[in-house]
Amino acid sequence: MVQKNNKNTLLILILFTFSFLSILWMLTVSNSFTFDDFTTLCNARFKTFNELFSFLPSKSYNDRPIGLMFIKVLNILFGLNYQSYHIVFGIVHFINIILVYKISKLVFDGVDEKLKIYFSVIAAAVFGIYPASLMTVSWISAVYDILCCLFTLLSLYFYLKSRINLDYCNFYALISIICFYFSIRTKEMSLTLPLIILVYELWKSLDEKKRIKLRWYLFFQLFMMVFFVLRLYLSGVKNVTPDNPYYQSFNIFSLFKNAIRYMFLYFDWGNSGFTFTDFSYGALFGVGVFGIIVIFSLYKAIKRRDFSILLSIISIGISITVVLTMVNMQHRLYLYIPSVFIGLTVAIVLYKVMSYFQFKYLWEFIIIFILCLYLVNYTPGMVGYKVNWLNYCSQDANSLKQIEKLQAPVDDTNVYVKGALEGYNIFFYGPGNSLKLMFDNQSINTILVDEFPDNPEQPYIFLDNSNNSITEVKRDMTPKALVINSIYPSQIDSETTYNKDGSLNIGVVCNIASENLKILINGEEMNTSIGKDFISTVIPKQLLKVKKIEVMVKDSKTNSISNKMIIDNN
Amino acid sequence: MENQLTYKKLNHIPWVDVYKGICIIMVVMGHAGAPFTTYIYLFHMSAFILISGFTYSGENYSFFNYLKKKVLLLLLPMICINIFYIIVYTILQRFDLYKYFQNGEPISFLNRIKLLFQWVGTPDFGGATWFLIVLFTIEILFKIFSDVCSIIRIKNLDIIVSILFSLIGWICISKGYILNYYFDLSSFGMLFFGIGVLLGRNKNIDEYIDKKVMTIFSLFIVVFFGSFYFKGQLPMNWPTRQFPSLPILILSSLCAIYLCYIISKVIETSNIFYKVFSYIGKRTYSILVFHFMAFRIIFGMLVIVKEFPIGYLKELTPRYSSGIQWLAITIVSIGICIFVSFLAQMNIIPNFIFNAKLKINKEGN
Repeated sequence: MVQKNNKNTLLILILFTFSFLSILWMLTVSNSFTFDDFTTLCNARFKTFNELFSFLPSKSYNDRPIGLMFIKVLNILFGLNYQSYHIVFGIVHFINIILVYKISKLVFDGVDEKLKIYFSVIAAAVFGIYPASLMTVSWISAVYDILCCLFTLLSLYFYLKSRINLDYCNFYALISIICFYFSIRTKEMSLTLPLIILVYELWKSLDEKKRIKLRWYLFFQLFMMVFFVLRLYLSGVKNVTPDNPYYQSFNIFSLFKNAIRYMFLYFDWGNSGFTFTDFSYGALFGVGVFGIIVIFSLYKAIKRRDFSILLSIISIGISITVVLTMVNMQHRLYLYIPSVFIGLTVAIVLYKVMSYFQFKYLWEFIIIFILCLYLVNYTPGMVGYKVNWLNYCSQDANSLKQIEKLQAPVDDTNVYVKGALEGYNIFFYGPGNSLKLMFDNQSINTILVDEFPDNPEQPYIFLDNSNNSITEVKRDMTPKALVINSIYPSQIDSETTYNKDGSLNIGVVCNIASENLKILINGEEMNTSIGKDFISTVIPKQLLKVKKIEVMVKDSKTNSISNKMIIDNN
Repeated sequence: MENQLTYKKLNHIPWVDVYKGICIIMVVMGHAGAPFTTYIYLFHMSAFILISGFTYSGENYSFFNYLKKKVLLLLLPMICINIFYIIVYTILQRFDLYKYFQNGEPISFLNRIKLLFQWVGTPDFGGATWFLIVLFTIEILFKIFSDVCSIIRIKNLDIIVSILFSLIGWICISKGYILNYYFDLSSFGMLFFGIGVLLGRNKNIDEYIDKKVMTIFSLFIVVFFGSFYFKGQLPMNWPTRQFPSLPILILSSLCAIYLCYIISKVIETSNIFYKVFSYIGKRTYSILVFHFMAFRIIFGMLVIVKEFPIGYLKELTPRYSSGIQWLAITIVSIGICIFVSFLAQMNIIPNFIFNAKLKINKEGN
């Protein structure tokens, strides 16, 4: 018994060791911010939690508050220390691996305890170690996928717990529903989870030869699914052109073709890119094995009335359904959640196969299996992917170091960047979100230009981005001229409404929004309220006794004074 | 049902007093300027309303007896303590000391009485007593719902009705409709009261909730909202009707209340801590109504020894300080409240005003 426990413990230790080794390179300092990270971080940093969160989605795409709030928390904790972010992502990935293990144990309910552990380790290993689906862990902007997976797994886990634990049934059901809500508000990809649960219930009813029993909370989750699908759809389908990567098509043949593409992407050990490129030979082995599994599942279903493998394959399809509609892009990111069900499928298949061999040498087989999964990291595609990724990171890290050396611009600076219009560079996203982030100033405005303008708007900086080098060419930090655009009321007459004490409220719209603005009435500084689009003050009765009221605005930080506007007092 | 409740009444639930003790200490700490005030304001008022629902025993009374009980134990003491404070201010005005304690013009005794009865305009010492009128209204409303729903005989219908009724309060609050006598807050408070009654009727909460899972979940929620989402601000402020969105309010409150419950259960296992917290918990009323006065007494003492400037006497709560001043003020003010409560027990009238008790317990409880 002690020896058995030691073997089990060792197996789990090996699982986590190789999971850690698979993602180790992602936790190093080489893996810096890159691509969309600057936009994601800007959105998280410069908005309050209240601005980020809404209970229901208000747009059809990219309304994902939970992920942004998570990044905001990380930003508060770690600032721009990207290594800490990746360590946190690594921890979340490990929690996901544990959840896959636990879910698998619940799925293998009724099986011998030792076998339950072994096959659950297989499921967790496929999810946690196989590198083709782990892009999510390496990229901060993929927070939506990794967190969505976490909440999806939690929802599934508590659903399964509620089925077997009658005491806490309702409590687990409630937690499952809450986690499902969090998963939807993290990323829409989890919308189809209730369908996967339905497939599971169908399998259990067929396996146990009982009528399918649908619990009230599954109905609630199905209702939530329909509600959010309608809500997202009615929020306005984004108008994108057919050549856009996010263009969607619901044509059944396109969906099937995309499913095949994802399969090739998952098994292609020669593809070092982020997306599907072509049906290459590098994927043939994996696709071939998958094909054999499909045939085996059909055989089992038809001949043996064993639907477990077939239904688990269907679960993989359901889990990837939401992204199948994107005909122009099949991205590695989207493989993370389906790899949970791929792991479960592999575990079930191996269980069925090994049962023919009376589960002999199972422990040894699992060790070799884990090793083989890990060795995929050394295939040309995976090595190339890692090298490409780190090259982009290195390029961006180098650019960030150069930006750090620049003197911080003042508020509302216009940064003109030459040499950044073509190809990917650190100014691409925003443009210029990287500058906003590095200088912690969201008022910086970046304009990508072919040539520097002759009459740039002040204050401004000219940056030259060429030969992997960012050079400051010119800088003029003269503050932007403060201009009053309009005043309300523009004149005082018999129809003007005064306050009860005879004072008058006026509103002023300026070209600059700042908390440092003060309204001057006839040269006298007034208490000024700063609104979103205008500033205002109350002119006391005694100052309204003149025929012309002079209004100016002063920036108390820069001491600049605006033009003068007159209110005629009739 | 009656036997169960009689059983419940006779079998005092120890952790409830500890829970109340924790909550009232949090209230005083929050007013004293504790650095974790954000956490306190996540749940302190809803915690009291919930525990009142948990210990609801209205089924044992007829409506008029229950109304009488609540008038005598909530409404009248609230009025009396505020009249006491009005008298204090009147005396201060008489001896020309008012200007040291308040800005603005003095308000006559009659006007203060009018303010109290018309608008529940309490003197600042009685600033926390708004809660008593809210709780009174909640208790009576629930009693009405309970008695009416008992005719229909559907299990927990009264709870469902109360929770639905709370939506009226929420609509008023979110639309900015301020109702007299805090009726909008009372109707909204029915939500937490109803949840408390539901939990109280099921006796053992741990039979229905997986403690480990709920504790971890609650910790994450409370830390997220306390340290990040509401960082640097008050999550909610009942008397000013400042609330976050409803789902956030419910989630953060209930999770924080659950953690308070867990801590209460842990404290229950320690003899010394249990005695201290339950002693304080049994004097919740005294501390609630007197702690602002206790703050002033402390400020007065510190002014006398020249630690604070004389202008400090006008402050209702301590000014911000980076040290542990808030902790010292909390401990001393609670001590003063308990001392006053102890002294008040010796006579029926002060016992009623400061302890909301009609009888003197010879054991001094």
